[in-house]
Amino acid sequence: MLTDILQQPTTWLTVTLGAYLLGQKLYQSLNHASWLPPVLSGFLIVTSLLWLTDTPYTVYKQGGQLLSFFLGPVVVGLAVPLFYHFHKMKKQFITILFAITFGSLTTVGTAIALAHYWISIDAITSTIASKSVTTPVAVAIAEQTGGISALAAAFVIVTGIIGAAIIPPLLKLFRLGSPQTTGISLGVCAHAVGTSRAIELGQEYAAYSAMAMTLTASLHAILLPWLL
Amino acid sequence: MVDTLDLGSSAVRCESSSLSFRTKIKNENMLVGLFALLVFLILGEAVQSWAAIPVPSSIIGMVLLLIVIILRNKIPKNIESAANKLAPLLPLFIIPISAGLITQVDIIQQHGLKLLAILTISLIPGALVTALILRLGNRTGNRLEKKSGSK
Repeated sequence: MLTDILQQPTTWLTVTLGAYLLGQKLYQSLNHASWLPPVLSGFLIVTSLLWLTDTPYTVYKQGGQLLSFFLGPVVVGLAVPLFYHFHKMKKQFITILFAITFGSLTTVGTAIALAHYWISIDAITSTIASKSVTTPVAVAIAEQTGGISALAAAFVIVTGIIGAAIIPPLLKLFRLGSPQTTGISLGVCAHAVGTSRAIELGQEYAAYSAMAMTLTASLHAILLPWLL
Repeated sequence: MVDTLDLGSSAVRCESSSLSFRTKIKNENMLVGLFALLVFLILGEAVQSWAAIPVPSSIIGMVLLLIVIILRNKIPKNIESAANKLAPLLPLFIIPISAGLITQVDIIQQHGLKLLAILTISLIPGALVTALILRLGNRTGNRLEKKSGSK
C-alpha cells in the first residue's frame, strides 16, 4: 500500500508543500537566518525523503512539476518590479546599468574561466554561467543553453547564501560600503538570497538590491544564450 | 492549483481570516492577473519559436509585458496583484527543480569542492567591480550636476 502511495503525484505535491511550510517555520524560528533559506531546508527535506523511500526523481517530478510550472508566470511577472524600480531610479539609471552589466559579467566570467580550467565539462561550464541570476531565470537559461537545470538551481542557491554572507563585510573592508553599493552588489551577485539579506540591512539597501537582481536576471537571460 | 497555493501563502503569513470578503475580491483580481501573465507567457513562446531566438520564452513574455506597461506608463492592478502574490511563493516553486540534484550525485561527488570554491571566488571580483563603478559613476554624476545626493 505504501508503495502505491509513493507512486502518486499527489503525495509528492503534498510532501513538497509540507517541506516548504516546515522550511518557512524553521526560517522564522531561526530569526531569518540567511544560511538556511526555506528553499534550502525544503530541498533537504524533499531529497532526504526521496532517498529514504528510494523514489526515482521521474516519479517525484510528476507531482513536483505542478509547482515548478508556476516559475513561468513568476518570471513574466518580474516586469512589474522592473518597471517600478526603473521609474524610481531614472536619474542614476545609466550608472547603475553600467555597474550591473560589468559587475555581473565579471563574476560570471570569472566563474566560467575557473570552471573551464578546473573541471572542463561543457555542461557544467554553461550551467555555472547562470549562477548569479535568480533561480527561475537561471533554470530557464540552463534549459535554453544545454546546461543542467537542477545543477543551475543548486549553484544559484549556494551562490546566494555565500554572497549574502561575504559581500557586506567585503565591501566594508575595501571602504566601498553604502546602501547603494552594498544593495546593488548583493542583488547582482547574490540575487534573491542577497536581497533578503539587504532587507535586513534596511529599506534603501532592499530597494537597490531588488532592482539589481531583476535587471541582472533579464540582462543575463537575454545575453547568455547568444554567448554560450 | 491556485487554491492550494493560496492555502500555502495565507497559512505561512498567518493572514487574518476576518477579511474574507476583501480576500475574495483580491483573489478574483489575482486570477485575472494570472490569466494575463499566462497569456504573455504563451505570447513569449510564440515569439520565441517564430523568430527562433535563443532567449527563454518566459523572459520574452516579461519583455512584452514590460513594453505594454511602459506604453501605458502604469502597471495594471490585476497583474500587479498576481505578480506580488506569486513572488513570495518562489521558494516553493523552486524546490521541485532543485530536488533534481539527486540525479546529479556523480558530479557533486567528483567536483563538489571545486564548484564551491569557484562559486565563492567568483563573487569577490564581481562585487568589487560593481561597487567601484557605482562609486566612480556617482562621483562624476555629482560633479556634472547635483544629483543622487541622498547619501
